[in-house]
Amino acid sequence: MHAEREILFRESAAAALLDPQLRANFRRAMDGLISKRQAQFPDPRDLQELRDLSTAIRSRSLLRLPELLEQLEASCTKNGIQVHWAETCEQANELILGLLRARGAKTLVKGKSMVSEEMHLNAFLEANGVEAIESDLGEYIIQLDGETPSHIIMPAIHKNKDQIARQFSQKIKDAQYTEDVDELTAMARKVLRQKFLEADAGLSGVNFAVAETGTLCLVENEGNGRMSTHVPPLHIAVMGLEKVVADLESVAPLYAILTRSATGQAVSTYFNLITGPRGTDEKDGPQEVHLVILDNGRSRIYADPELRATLRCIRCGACMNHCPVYTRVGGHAYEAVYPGPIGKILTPQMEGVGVRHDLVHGSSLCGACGEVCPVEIPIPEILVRLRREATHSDPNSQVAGKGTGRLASEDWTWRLWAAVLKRPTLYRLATWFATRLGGALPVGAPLLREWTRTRTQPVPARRSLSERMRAEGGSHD
Amino acid sequence: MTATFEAFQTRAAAVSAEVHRFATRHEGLAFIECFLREVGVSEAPGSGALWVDGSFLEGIGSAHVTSQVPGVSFEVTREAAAVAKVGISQLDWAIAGTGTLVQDATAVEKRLVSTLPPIHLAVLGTERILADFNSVLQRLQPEQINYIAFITGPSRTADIERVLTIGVHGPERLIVVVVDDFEKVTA
Repeated sequence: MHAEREILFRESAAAALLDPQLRANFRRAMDGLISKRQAQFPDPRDLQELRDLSTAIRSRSLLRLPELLEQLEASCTKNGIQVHWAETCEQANELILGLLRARGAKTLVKGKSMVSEEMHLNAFLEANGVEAIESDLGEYIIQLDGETPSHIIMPAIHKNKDQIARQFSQKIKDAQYTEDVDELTAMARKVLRQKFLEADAGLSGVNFAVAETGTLCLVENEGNGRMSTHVPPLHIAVMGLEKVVADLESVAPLYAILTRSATGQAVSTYFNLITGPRGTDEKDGPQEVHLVILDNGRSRIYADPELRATLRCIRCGACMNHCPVYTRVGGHAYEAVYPGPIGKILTPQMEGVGVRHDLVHGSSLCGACGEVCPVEIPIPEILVRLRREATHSDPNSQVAGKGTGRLASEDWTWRLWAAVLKRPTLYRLATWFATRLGGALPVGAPLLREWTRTRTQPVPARRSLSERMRAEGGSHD
Repeated sequence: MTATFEAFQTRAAAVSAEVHRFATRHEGLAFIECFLREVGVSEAPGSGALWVDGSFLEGIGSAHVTSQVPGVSFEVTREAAAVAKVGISQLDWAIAGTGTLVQDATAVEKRLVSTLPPIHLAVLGTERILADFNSVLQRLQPEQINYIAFITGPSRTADIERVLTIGVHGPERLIVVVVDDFEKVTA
């Protein structure tokens, strides 16, 4: 039963904890985000009301998911948006490459999209001769260093401005060294402006897709999303299949709670509702709009009534900002596209609960994530469920990699434990030995090492309770 | 109306937009012309202003503007927008509660002038300021509009150390000119 297990998180988290710069960068940023969010919700009753409403909207959308997706496809098609379905990331990548090749596109400018990170689209396109340029400032910064996002909303938050200043002066042509944030931003603006104007195609994510009207909603602050969607002649939008909602009325509360939870803004600078490509009489704007809808394990998550709540997520990042683990180790330690609490439940379900067993255990189950989640995803409960799934093979379970996280040594330990507890003589013998000799057990004994790594090894009492009661009197009543 | 306007102005100013109110379109236009001269709009390369014509200039005429401020053009293309200093467009609605401007931006020209130039100047009728997001949604038929833009303040980012920076990809200044007698024309 001993599955191949890469215990990455514990090791990378331990390494991250030793990096004072990284810890300081995260601490500062997360404290800021927490207080900005708090300022947006001065009245806890209003917050709860909005959370209840948002949770209801997301749950209801998921309840009707297959139907809404069909409706979305029909509405989009009617509007002139071409819809494509991809079961796997490989399929989605091939699809996008095909769309780009059909138009002879060599450069793709990208607005922020976590789904495209999930697909590792940039690497795939580079390997196939298409240049993919990230245009969100944070994404641009990490792309320069070949890194992945350390936060889903603020991808470069692990770096401070000195680090970015050094990086820009080395990697941007003719760049002067400066630590002034305005000047650094202006540098990136200049480089990316040129890319926008030259790009053959633009790619964006989707925050909400409206089934009734076939509208793609895009939330952003920088304006790069707007540019990616209307400066190049071809616009490709990618979304996970859970992003669909029934109607526009559903969007208003979700948008309101998304920006407040994510960055503590009442609204984002830009909110774009895209319902179609340019008209026949227009001379500019995208001639084609394509929507790629990705499954990548989502329909398997959907099939489980408890785990389905994972798909309510609107990707605000509040769970990360409030997580005592994430705020100390940062996003990269998770070695997953989606870090933090939501990543801990999403990644194992997508990649297999056995191979990412370490992630579901990388939590103190303090409950902060579940408390701040705008759509009330019971993250701690799902973590516990996944811990069980990792070591049990319930025939009714659809969880990827169920049971593959079982350790033979742990298994034998519990069997032995059960065998002892079932036999009174054996139990008495064991307690007699434990009370007499337990104190002599060396710290970090082989079977206990895993458990005592982060806990103090208990020392048995010198006499068991039964023995003391017999000796000192007293009754069992 | 004044209370709604003031709410809008307060919210918009909080996100770094500059809001000005005038009784008539003529007064508004006088301000705009003065503003354009002030920021150095001229016929020199890279100093132009691009105006997406709307009902604001009805009865005034675009020729009047170009005669007053050379450098203003009404021929909007992607290339022109990419080098313009100021983009001017008419907005359809505004939301008092959040200081947001709303536009049927199906015509890509409207998107280009509010995205590419470093300054976006928006004109709007005072009557068009509504209370909230839903009031605007009720007046739009989103399924019939290819692109609806909600704009709240100039372009911003906080991606470096969470330091707020204005003007990353879109405009670094957003000027809103609100005019009271607009509806007489647009209605």
